[in-house]
Amino acid sequence: MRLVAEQLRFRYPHGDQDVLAALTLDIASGVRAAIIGPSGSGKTTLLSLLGGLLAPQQGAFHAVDANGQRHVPRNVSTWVLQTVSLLPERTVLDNTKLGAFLDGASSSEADARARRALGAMGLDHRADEPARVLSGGEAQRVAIARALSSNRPLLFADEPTNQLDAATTDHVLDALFAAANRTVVLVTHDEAAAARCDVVYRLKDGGLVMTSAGSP
Amino acid sequence: MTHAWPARLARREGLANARSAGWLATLLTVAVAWISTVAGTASALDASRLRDAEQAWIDAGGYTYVIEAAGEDSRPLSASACEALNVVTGVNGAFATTLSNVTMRPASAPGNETTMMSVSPGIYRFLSLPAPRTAGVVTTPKTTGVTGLRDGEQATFVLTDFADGAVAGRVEATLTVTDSAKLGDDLTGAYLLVSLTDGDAKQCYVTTDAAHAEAVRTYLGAALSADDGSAPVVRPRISANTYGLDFETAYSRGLLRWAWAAGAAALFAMWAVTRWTRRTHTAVYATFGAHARARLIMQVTEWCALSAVGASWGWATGVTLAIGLGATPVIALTQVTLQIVALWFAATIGVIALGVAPVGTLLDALKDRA
Repeated sequence: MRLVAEQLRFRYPHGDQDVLAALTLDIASGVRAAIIGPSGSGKTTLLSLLGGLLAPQQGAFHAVDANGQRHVPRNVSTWVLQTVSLLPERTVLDNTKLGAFLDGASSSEADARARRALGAMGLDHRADEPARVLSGGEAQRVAIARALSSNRPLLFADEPTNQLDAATTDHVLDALFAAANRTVVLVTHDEAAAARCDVVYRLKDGGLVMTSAGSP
Repeated sequence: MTHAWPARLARREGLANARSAGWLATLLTVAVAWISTVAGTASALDASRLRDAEQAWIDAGGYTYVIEAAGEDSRPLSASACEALNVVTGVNGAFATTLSNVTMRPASAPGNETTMMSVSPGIYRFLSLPAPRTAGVVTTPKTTGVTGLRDGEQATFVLTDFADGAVAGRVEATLTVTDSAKLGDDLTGAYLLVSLTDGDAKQCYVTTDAAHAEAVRTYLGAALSADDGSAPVVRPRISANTYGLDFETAYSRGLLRWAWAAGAAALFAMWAVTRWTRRTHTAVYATFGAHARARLIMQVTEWCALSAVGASWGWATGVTLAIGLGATPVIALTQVTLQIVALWFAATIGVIALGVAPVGTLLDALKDRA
């Protein structure tokens, strides 16, 4: 799934300047792209725009499949959010299954996918516990498991490893990048994580600059 | 590739959220039950109190008319015309009375002479009592107290001329003793000999009900008018409603009739607070593509699951409590049911309105970016 953004401009309602100005982006299908930049540079805002969580004041963005058909990114994507995004009263398994249900998976299929994803995150033993008892790092990994249980072709990940140690970060990135043909947009301030992507964009002064092609 | 949220998934998530809500589910269920109980019980007790007051009013002579000739120069009423009112729709009972010039006493109780009036047979229908097969005398406990006679007893009565004290005759009759309140002050303390079938009458007593009161009153003026066309005087037996209530409008004007609305408002406020505290949940679903219809189905499902339990509990408690506190069972059942159904539907409309309100994404919810 190719991701295209054209001339995006965005300013928060009470902001005094544009966070993003005339930003253009084209990420090819199956590419793992990193967006890096200092805190406050607008990384999360850009990701939210691409995912359809925010609406730009100007410009357009869309996802294009192999047949050239356009899609609203929100309908073909799954997320790993920087903030805690679990349903605290529901079990870890329930939270993870949500990703599979979004693809129209049956209950048994969703259960199988969720358990597999939790296993990949080393959390299968906590499947039946409520999400509220998890530590920050564990909650982060459940959110990643939820994204992995989905077969949607676009994955937006906002600082998915910021609460994880180095060893776990490597493991999580392996899992995130494992799905073939999935386009991944990874927002991070971790240069090492960015270096594992196919392409790296640096966000500066409201625009994107491609700085390097990483080592996949 | 693209999958919108199907209604089935939304319902499943709503039910799962209800099941896993923990203390919040308990709080909401208890609140629905408690508010339903209070609204239903209060309304049932109020309606029951009004019904009892109206019954007391009716027993005391409410909806009873006393008809007399317009004046001393007017032609007297016809006893048979009064008695004929018993077949008129809306008339629950009618009888005629006339004074006599004799006193009456049981043969077994010399020295207990009491005023005697002749009345027509319709008095039994008026009092909702069965008529005896023999001649009858109707009176009140005030009269029989000193004679030792009991209700239903067959006795011989002696008639004495009021003017000269001579025995005017003897009557074998079955005694009917009735409540003074039903008979009214004017007739209490006299023996009412059921012997008037035609001729003149001094008064005609007619009882009706709230639904027919005005129509019957209008009808009486024409039905009992004299041969010369003069209309009789028709007056309520109780000249003023000392209960201070208009029973035809008392319930519709009562505040407790709207208890369901107050209850629904309280539940809506509680649900709104709940949604606000759990706005992150809604935002999570929105972030993962749950559109407005799916979120609405999810929230209404969760509300229905939680409130159905509370409403059922509140209904059972409300009916039991209302009956325990003295409400009539039929009124308790009707009022509690109506109140809770109205309350639940009104609160559900509020829940739906809240469910279709715009919601931000997870970013908005957590970072207060609007």
